[in-house]
Amino acid sequence: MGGVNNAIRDSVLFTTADNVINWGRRSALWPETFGIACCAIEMISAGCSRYDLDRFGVVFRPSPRQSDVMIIAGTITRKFAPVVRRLYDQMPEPRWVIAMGTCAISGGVYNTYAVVQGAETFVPVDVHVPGCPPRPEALMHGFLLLQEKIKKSRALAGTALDRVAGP
Amino acid sequence: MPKPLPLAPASPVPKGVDCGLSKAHGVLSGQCDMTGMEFLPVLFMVAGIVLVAVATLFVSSLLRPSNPYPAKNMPYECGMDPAGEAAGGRFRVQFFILAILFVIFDVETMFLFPWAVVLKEIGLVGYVEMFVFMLLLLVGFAYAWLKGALEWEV
Amino acid sequence: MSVETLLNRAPIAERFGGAIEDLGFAHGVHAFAAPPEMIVELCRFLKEHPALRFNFLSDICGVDHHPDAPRYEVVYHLYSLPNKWRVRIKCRLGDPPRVPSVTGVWRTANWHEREAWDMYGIRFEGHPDLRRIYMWEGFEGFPQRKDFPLRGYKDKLNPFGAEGTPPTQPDLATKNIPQGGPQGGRSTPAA
Repeated sequence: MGGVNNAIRDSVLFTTADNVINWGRRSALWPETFGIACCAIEMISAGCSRYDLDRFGVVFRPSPRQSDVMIIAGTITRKFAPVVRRLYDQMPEPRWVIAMGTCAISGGVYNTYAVVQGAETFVPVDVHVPGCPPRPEALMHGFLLLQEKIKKSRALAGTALDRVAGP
Repeated sequence: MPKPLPLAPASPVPKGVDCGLSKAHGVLSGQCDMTGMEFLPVLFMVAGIVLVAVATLFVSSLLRPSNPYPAKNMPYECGMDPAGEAAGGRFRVQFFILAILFVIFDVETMFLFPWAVVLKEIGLVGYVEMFVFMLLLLVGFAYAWLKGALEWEV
Repeated sequence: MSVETLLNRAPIAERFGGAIEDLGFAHGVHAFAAPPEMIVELCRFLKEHPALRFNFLSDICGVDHHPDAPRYEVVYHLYSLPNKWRVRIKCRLGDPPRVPSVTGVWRTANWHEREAWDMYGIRFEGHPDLRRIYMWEGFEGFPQRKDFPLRGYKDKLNPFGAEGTPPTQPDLATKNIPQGGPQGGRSTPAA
């Protein structure tokens, strides 16, 4: 990483672009509803009227092609793991993953032959929301943490502009 | 030159089609004869639209990450490998047949519009002529129907 | 509500007599023990007899009594919709466990028997499609047996599993049916 590249990347144009693009991305996070087990109920209730998620710009999308973030809510069995991975693969970038509930984080109470011990073993996870199940407020807190993570990230990473101006 | 109808009531709307052309262009009043130059604003608008769309897509392609790989490009089927006839590359030819029939009958419908506009000038002969045209196409439609082109299942 | 007074056991005793052992009233349900070769006949009799009419098969489950012998057991729970009676039929099996299938009597037995096969390795003879139903295709071992470790065996995706490999079953009945998994049904998922 040369000094010139840093200068370009830290220039007013790029940082402003980063700020604007990141603001757009974090204010309209569209999750793919991926409720597998009991945590799905809490995810649904977080999306309903009392603990409204819509005020964060969160609109649940049924298809991975239209979503930004995947909320893995529930126990992932080894039989189902390839499906989860395929759906993660079919999300367009930029994409993030929230592992909701202890089963998605580490297998939870199910340390058995049939349960994958954590979604992190096959998808990269950005935010872990512990709980069994986590309260809707906890899921909202997870979304806010993800928004802060996006705020600090570089929006143009992996783009054509970055390949021109980057290392 | 068409005569105005004798019993037409006086109305604030001028008779005939107003093309926005003045007599200086050498146009008989009441008759609409637009030259090519009148369509220039339309051309500008189309060019503007195309430019805006292309510019938006171009800027967007600079700003978005691009990372295609085989698993991402697979058709979406709830996380499974695509199964079924369409996935196996088998295309239903009924789609093509229906599309061709649609084009034919849509062109026929398209011909009805200018005919309807000038129906007053061409009178009864023109009226009957159009029905002859539609009858000929109806024969074709009957043939397609009886031959089973409209059947959906094989 | 006591089932004893409702369930009419007379036809069963009359038809089968000593072959079917009456286990009495336990856990709210009347139970019988039957040898495996008489299961289909008994089930058909219970279903079709006009006084009994056990037309609903609630459940078939397997049991592993290791280290007791005979090791395995199949338990059928039946329910009579017209009469509102429940009955349980238990069938002790040796090793390797084989019992005739009752899919000819109740079609729903198809999946219940697949579950018992998948979890215990109890072979149902005459079953039209005996393959795994819970575990993925290519999985080796029968998880609910007492000698199968809870955490499974160690492999690439299961670092907490027990050492060793499960005993391979030479007669594992997996047919070549396209399962449609993301890898086209390969043995190891997400490999």
